[in-house]
Amino acid sequence: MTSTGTGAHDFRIWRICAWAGPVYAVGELVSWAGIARFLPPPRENWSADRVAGFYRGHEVAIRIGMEGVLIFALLYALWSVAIARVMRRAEGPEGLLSSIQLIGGIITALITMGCAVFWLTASFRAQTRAPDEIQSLNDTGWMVFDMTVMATLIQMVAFGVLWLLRDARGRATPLMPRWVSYASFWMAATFFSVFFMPSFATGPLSWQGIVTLYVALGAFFAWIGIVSVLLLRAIRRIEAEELGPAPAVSADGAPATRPSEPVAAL
Amino acid sequence: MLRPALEPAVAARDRERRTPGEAGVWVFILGDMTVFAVFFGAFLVARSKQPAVFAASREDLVVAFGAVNTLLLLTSSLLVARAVRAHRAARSREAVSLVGAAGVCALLFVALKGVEWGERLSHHTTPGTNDFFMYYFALTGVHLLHLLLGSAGLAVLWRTVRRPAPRPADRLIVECVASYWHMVDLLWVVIFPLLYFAST
Repeated sequence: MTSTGTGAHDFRIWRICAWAGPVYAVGELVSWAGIARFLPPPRENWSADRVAGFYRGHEVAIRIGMEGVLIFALLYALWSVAIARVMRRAEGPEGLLSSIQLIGGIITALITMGCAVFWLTASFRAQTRAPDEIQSLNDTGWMVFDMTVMATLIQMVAFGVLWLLRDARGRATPLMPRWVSYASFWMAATFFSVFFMPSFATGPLSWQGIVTLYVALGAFFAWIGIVSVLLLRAIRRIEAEELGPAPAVSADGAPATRPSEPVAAL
Repeated sequence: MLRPALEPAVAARDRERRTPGEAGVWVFILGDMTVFAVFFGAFLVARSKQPAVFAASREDLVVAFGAVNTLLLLTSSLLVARAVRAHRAARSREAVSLVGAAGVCALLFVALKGVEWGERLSHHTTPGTNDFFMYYFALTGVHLLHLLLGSAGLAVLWRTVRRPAPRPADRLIVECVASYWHMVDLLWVVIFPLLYFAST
């Protein structure tokens, strides 16, 4: 065990959690956009009848797609835990930013589940449910999807702020590069467009709009991708710091395993 | 610290190669401008589809509002640029008053925007009236959001240049905030002719 109490098996779980992010991203896109066919979505300016037609038209596909969304949703929370631990290594155990990031990440996972439940319900009994009710459930799903964006924004901002500050352990090169802070701030800034959504039923700022949906959601998934790559790199670095560098091959030519005791406790 | 003899040479080399602020803030600024470019593109496509509606609706806008706002922002950018120069020359009192004046310009812009929107809304013109006004409120609204963010930056800038003893991170803060403010100004310089002057 290292001085931080982290064993080799913990790093494996840490890495699995880091991979949960990309799996979430792919799983959600396939389920929501591919199976449920929510891209492009029912429009904000559609009549209730037209919205009902959308749900009645492929009721089962929407059901399966939304169930997929619900299955993959919590992976985002696991991913946020992996990020939080890297952040804690950088800011020290008394720091707040890692906790703020984690809270934002957990809430985001819940939001993913929330909107999927409403859209799932909208498709449930769609054939016999009144169009106004279907539209109401559809609308609520979009409100949960969009208007709760501050959770993800705070997660991204807390994450970004940390890498502009001094590393608590005095590392010469921080665990994550500074540009990811600015990228995080920019991507989070695109989320502010959702606050225009309730006032704009058509155009770039509607919930189907190019800015509010495609740019903002694209930024979200791009952020997951970028941060996941940097996250895995950071975990590898922390592992090398705490357990010693991984030997490629041991003296007798067989693939070596990492020593269970640390080379030097840091 | 370098030996005194080496410092001027290093400082000179530093001046030649340096990116204002740091590379990362340009990720933010250019990313923001890209989103606006998407927005402008959407506006132009929409205008090409309904040229008569756009031309007629544009007539309802009061150009004077837009023109004064443009002057306010250009002036504020000039003031911020001069403030950066004053800060670099360690003339902190001058820098403080320049930043303050830029902040006043920003406040006037916001106030005037409020008056202009109020005027539009009193004529029952809303984002839902037609596509032109949807874009009008959307573009000016999103720009205002950026201006408010930039104003928060100006407040940070004001605090930074006020400090009697400069800190190592000051140069970074000053240049990042100034660069972002210039972007806000630049965006308005594009939005103004786009909305207030049509040409089909």
